[in-house]
Amino acid sequence: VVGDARLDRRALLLAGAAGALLGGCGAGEGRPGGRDHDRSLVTGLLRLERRAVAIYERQDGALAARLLAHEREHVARLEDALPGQRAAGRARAADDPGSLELARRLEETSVAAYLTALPRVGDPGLRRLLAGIAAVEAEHLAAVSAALGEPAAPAAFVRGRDAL
Amino acid sequence: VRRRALLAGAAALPAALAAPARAEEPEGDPALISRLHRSEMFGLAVYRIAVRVASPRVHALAAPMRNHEFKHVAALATTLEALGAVRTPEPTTGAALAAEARRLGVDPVWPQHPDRAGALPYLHALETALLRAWIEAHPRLRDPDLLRLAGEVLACQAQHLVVLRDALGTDLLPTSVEAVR
Repeated sequence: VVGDARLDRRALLLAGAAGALLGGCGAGEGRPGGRDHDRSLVTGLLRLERRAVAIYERQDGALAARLLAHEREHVARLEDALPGQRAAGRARAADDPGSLELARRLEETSVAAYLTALPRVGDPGLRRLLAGIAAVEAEHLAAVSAALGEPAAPAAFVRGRDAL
Repeated sequence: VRRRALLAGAAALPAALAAPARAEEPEGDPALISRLHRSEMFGLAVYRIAVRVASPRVHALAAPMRNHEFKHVAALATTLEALGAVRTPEPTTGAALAAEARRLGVDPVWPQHPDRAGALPYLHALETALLRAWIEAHPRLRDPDLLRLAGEVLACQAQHLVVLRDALGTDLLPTSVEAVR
């Protein structure tokens, strides 16, 4: 993605933790499985995807460009699933460029966020969309791991990382 | 060999036709997990075949994924026991393999007549079908713990696909949302 393998701590903090981004969803707005609850879950995922876009916008290379395109598409899909969110604020990235290590942390967080959200979503159609995106986030993680020279598929049960 | 394979596939057709159609299968978590268990057992059987016939390069990448399939099958078997559901036996005969292949929408011939050259493309087709099965299970599963397990296996299958795309020299990340209808 970029030559700088240094971990950008500020960017990691910006990306936030999966648990924090979905914070309160278990006991959040509305009845679990209900429409308002689903909305709060998607809002948390949208926040994460927007931050991923902001971070990948500051990275160079073909892999980062592909990850950026996918994350932008995820933002669009989630906005479509959540009417009225399109005009929401744009996340800002840290000043420093990212790194492969940053991308890995970000994708691990995304995987964890989607896997945390899925059992809590009530609407079946929304759950299907999120499962399709979760699969792609796991693919992103595999591609980034491979770029780091590490196994792309190291575990039978992929859980991501709840906290950065 | 091709003709024999086709005949063998045709012989398995009555069994496949006798199997309940997808739309007619009972819904509910035990039925869904049972179907996924069957799919993963087929995946494990295919990986065992592939590892046996594969080149050293393909063997090196397929062996860890075979181990993952083994763990998926074990976890789903334990889940089925907990649900009190019936476990179907592992497909070992040609007819059983062909029936499972057809159910998943992949070529029923290769597992019965495997060759080295076809291993990678077949594993890719298998993983694509498995990923689709896991994604399609998500809107139907109800129990949160089962959904959590389903998500973790789904993510693993997605990563297998990246490994296979890389080995085949194709685009690693061809889509932003998997299994879009």
